[in-house]
Amino acid sequence: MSHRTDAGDGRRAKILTAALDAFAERGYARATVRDIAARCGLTDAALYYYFPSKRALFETLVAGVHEYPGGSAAEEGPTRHMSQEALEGLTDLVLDWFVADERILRLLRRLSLEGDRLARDVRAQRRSTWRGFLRAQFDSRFREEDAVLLTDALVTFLSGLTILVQTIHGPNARSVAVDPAYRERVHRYVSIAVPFERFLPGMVLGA
Amino acid sequence: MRERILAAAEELFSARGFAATSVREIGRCCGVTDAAVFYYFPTKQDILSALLKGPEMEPFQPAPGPFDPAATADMVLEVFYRWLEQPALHRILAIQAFDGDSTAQGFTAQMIESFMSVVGPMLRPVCRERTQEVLYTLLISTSGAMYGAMLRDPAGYAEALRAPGARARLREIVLLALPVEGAR
Repeated sequence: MSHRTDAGDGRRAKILTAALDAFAERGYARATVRDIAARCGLTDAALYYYFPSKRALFETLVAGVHEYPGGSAAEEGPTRHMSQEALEGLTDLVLDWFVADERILRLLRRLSLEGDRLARDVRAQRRSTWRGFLRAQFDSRFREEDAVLLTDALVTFLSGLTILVQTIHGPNARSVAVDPAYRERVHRYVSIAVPFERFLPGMVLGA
Repeated sequence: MRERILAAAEELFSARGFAATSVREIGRCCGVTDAAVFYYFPTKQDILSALLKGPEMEPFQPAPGPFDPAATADMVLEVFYRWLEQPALHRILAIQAFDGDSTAQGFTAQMIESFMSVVGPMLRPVCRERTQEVLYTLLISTSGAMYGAMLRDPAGYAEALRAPGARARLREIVLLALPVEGAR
């Protein structure tokens, strides 16, 4: 990471933070450049020096979505069995990523609902990254068609979960999503949504 | 009059969005003042809630004998596709929710109610104390399917979800969350 102390970089970062705050609090449409500038103690003109428009702020923000932190789990290799702990670990990983990007995600989702194409494309890209990661976890442990179904079930469940936590809890979404009691409930629900035990070789069902 | 207000509101909300539609315009559409509208619906939010409530669904009583996951999955899908009969309104509700309106909370409570009353009776004999967990899981997954499609294609998502492939896949996902055939 760059450690330049260039005043311009610092100011850009402050502006971007203020923009994210404003978008989160007032929604993209109602937030104004004036409001964002005021939050940084700048005039509109000073802000425009760094970012030509509100749209430019949005585009810079979405370019900064975090890298998916899935690396270490993926290195564990295909010989490990899928287990309840592994499933919970994957769920927590995705939820942690959600928490890290929650406000940008909210913005992306909100704009996608209006048909904004950049928002839709960034979302789609992000989703295909974590879907691909999850798919790899299942591919290495199950027959292909079962892996696809289990991945779909997990992805659908996690999407529903993160969208519901945002629509129900609003600005408290992040604090809810990191709460251990919430995670415990989510672990129980995910074991219902993704009953991988049914697909393990040699499983005998019933009774 | 109440029905006329709802019909006018549905059209205007779907066409222009919730925020951009005023109660006065809804009233004008029905030939009444906004005061008349407020008589039936204290707030604009109440109109949206009433529109989304829709007709009550009958609880499904399970057939005697062992648990039938296929029939239960079909009931879940029926509730789900009932929501999809008003896709524009659900999109408006989602927008409201993302804009910080708490109407969405009320609606989510309504969705849980639907699942509970319609699907609950079929699950209770076999899931017992886990019934509520299974119902929440079904709610989360079906919401995921609906909102996922809505975010990808806000205008045409209901169509997309009605496509046979999408429907079949959703049914399989729902089946995963249900106890297996013959479970006791």
